[in-house]
Amino acid sequence: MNGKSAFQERVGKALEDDFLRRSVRETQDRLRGGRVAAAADWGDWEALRTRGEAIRRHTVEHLDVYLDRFATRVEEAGGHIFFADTAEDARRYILQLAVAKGVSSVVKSKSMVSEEIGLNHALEAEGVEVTETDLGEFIIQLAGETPSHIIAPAIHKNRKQVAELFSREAGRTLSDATEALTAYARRRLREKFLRADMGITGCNFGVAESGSVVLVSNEGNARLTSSLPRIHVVVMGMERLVPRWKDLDVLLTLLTRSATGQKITSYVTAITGPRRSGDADGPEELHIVVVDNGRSALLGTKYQHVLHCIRCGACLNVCPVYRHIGGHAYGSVYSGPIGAVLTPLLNGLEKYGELPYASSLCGACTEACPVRIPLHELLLELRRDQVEEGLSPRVEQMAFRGFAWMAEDPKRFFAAAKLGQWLTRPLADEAGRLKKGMGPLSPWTESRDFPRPASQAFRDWWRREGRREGGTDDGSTR
Amino acid sequence: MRVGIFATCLVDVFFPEVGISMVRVLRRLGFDVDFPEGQTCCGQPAFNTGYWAEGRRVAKGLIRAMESYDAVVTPSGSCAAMVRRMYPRLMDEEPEWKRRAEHLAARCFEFSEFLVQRGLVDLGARLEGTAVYHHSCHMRRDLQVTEAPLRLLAHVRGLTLKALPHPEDCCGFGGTFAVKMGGISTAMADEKVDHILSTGVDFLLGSDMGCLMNLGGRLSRRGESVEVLHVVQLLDRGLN
Amino acid sequence: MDQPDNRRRFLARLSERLGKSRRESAPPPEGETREEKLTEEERISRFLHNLSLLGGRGVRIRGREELKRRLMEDVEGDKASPLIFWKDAFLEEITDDLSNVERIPWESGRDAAELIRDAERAKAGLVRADWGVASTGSIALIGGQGRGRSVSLLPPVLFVVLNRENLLSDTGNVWSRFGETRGEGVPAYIHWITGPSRSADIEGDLSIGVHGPYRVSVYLLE
Repeated sequence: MNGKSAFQERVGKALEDDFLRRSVRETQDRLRGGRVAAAADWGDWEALRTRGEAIRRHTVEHLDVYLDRFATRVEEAGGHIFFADTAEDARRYILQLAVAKGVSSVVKSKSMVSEEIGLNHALEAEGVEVTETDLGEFIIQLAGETPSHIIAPAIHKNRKQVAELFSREAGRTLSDATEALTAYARRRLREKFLRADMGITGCNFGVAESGSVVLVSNEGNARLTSSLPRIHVVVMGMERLVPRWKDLDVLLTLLTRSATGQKITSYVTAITGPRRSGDADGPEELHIVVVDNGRSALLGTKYQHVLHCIRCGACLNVCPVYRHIGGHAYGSVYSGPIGAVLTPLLNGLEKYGELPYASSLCGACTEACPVRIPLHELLLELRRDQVEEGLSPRVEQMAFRGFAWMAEDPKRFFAAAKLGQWLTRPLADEAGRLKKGMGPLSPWTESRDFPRPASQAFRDWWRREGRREGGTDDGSTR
Repeated sequence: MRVGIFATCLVDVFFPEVGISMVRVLRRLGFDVDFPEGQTCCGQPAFNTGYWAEGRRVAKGLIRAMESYDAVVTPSGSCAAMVRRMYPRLMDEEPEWKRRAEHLAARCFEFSEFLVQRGLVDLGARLEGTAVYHHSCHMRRDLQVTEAPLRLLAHVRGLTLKALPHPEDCCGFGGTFAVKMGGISTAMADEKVDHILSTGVDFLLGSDMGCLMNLGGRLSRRGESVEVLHVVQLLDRGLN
Repeated sequence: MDQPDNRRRFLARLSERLGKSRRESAPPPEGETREEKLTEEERISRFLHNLSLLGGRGVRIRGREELKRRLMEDVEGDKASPLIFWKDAFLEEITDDLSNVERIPWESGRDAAELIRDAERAKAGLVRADWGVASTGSIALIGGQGRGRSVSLLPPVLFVVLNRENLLSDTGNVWSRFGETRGEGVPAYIHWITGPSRSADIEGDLSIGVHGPYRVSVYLLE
């Protein structure tokens, strides 16, 4: 590899951003502390995880059946459903609908899948005004950025930056007090809600037995988005289903407690079909767009598990790598451990091959995941695929072939250790520490001392003294 | 009981004193220990980087060297987890090797785990000082051993063990991660080092030389004098 | 694109990847639903506690007269005029005495745009909860004629009346009621509300009322 990759550039930039790192740390500590307390409060959290995992596994194993049932029920309740093979298909359907219905203004509540399919740009290119209404999403939309956390999209922005963005939008100077900024957002966004022709939401869960769409939010913007505009469009990843209401209850409990540590979010909304005759509000039309966009290719593979994800963000909140680089460094819509697994699976290892290596394999993600996705083991599998598909750097391939050749044979291995011992002599300080390394070791020695191979290896000691000492032991052996 | 010492490559090459302490402590407890010289490394550097074929070649060497002992004891939670949890999976396509891997997996133990399982928690050690213990992630989450080293340390007279803030957080070692993602790895190490220093202890203790090499390397680069010891070194010192 | 065809193709791809024919199914895994045996008093105190955790205000009310009195005080304290409410005999009766207050019933027969303008203009909304849940401090509003979504959503203050006999232990007790229904038998909406609208999107600083009501008062009617 020559020079730094785009990923390494982003990581370098993030590591130098003290505000970003402090605010990610604080958010993480707040959210992960909340999750631990909420799990303890529940009681038998492990039993609940086991149940959640079983429901997700079952649903994904029978996804064809449940999607079919869901679609039938959506239609019975008067809704429309469209199955989009690709991001392009999903965008086209929504655009055509917007054009056909004379939509000029759209309000959106937070939806990762709509980010994934690049929906906003497509609508804006057709002259449709799109407004993100989640406070965090509104901030980053004004900044022209993308979310940096699944549930806290604007954690990388400080209040001064928010005040500047809002002041520019307002055409006057706003105070940077939270209440003032929130009050401005409320007024501004309320105007948008009342004017919008179309509301676009994601879908936290779809209930197959009733064709219902379930949305959770703390702000209430998902309620406004799904209540006021005359057309409601739901964009959902195809795996977002649960079979029944009682399964929903289990997963909602896992979701809100894992995401923010709340027993429930301020708003949970289940929508079934458009408004009924006699209703004066609620959408006249409900359209549900089910998105595949690479997901079905994971079915029947060792990565099928990743479709169990309920997008709670718990893995981001415990990840030490995410903690220091934030979400944008991942260079994709999904960040953190789930992003490091999902992004290369949906978009290819060729482009995102570094992400599976953005982990110390500490396993905190796997431990936190409410539906027990073995995230760090999937990262190992992705690394394996990368190597077996010949996508890893040539130098590294040679290095590991060399390593195996040496480590297969103790003579070679310890000859190499001795050679290292001799070669590093001139480089070490008086205490025998290496302050500067050569080649592949230099990222270590840039910040950390490295020990020299000992002048007497353990096996040397064993040969000289260790084995003999054992012989003189007169105690009884266990 | 014949106990095979699996020293690990890091101890064998860089930290022989840890292996020596382990031999001394185990002998003192009456175990008949042996060190088969056919061993080198468990293969994690290759395996964890995605080089399963290379990892498998190295793993077979370790299985050959260690499989004849009643128990295999290693001063590394990470390498014990590799043998116990990953070896059988690594041999999925070679039934005979899978059987041998499972055989070894069933009798390979991390040092503190091995002792505590046999009820050996109070070794009679005495050492004045304050310490924090760093849990390695592989030992905590993959091997699922957290209490054993703490139980051994709790019985060291004169030693005060202090709590580390965010004890569940990784130190940033992660094998090749430490060089592939040097910047992130250092940021993680720095936070851990800050936590360690905030406790004002004399000793940083651990059960994995990977973590301790990382944290020790960062501590010494930052000019800090906290002494870094493997649990078995502290016990050995406290027994003499 | 022909839509039924698009659905068929999509589902066939899934079946193929899953290595089975689509009709092949199995019942979902079962497990215990958490059902705590709580006395009525425990349910009430837990409900009030959990509601307060998310910043809601819960009050125990004994009888209609006390409810009227309390509502009058709160309407005054929160300067809650105009007050919009679901048109139902009970709510009309308890708001009857609020003579200084502009009262707007949500009448489905009226022009929809006008109703929404009224809800937007209103300083408070008043609704009756179908259910309350002790384990979370939530109330559930179920869609139906005359039960406009905007009433509990647009005004800055929300008053909710919950009958004590409709206070259940867990959310699961409510969800399970919809298990046997389909089509229009399922209500168009089930809205769970727990305290006021909240956000922590600016530097993790909690702020209340970013979109929905700033203040939520639940009158637990005994």
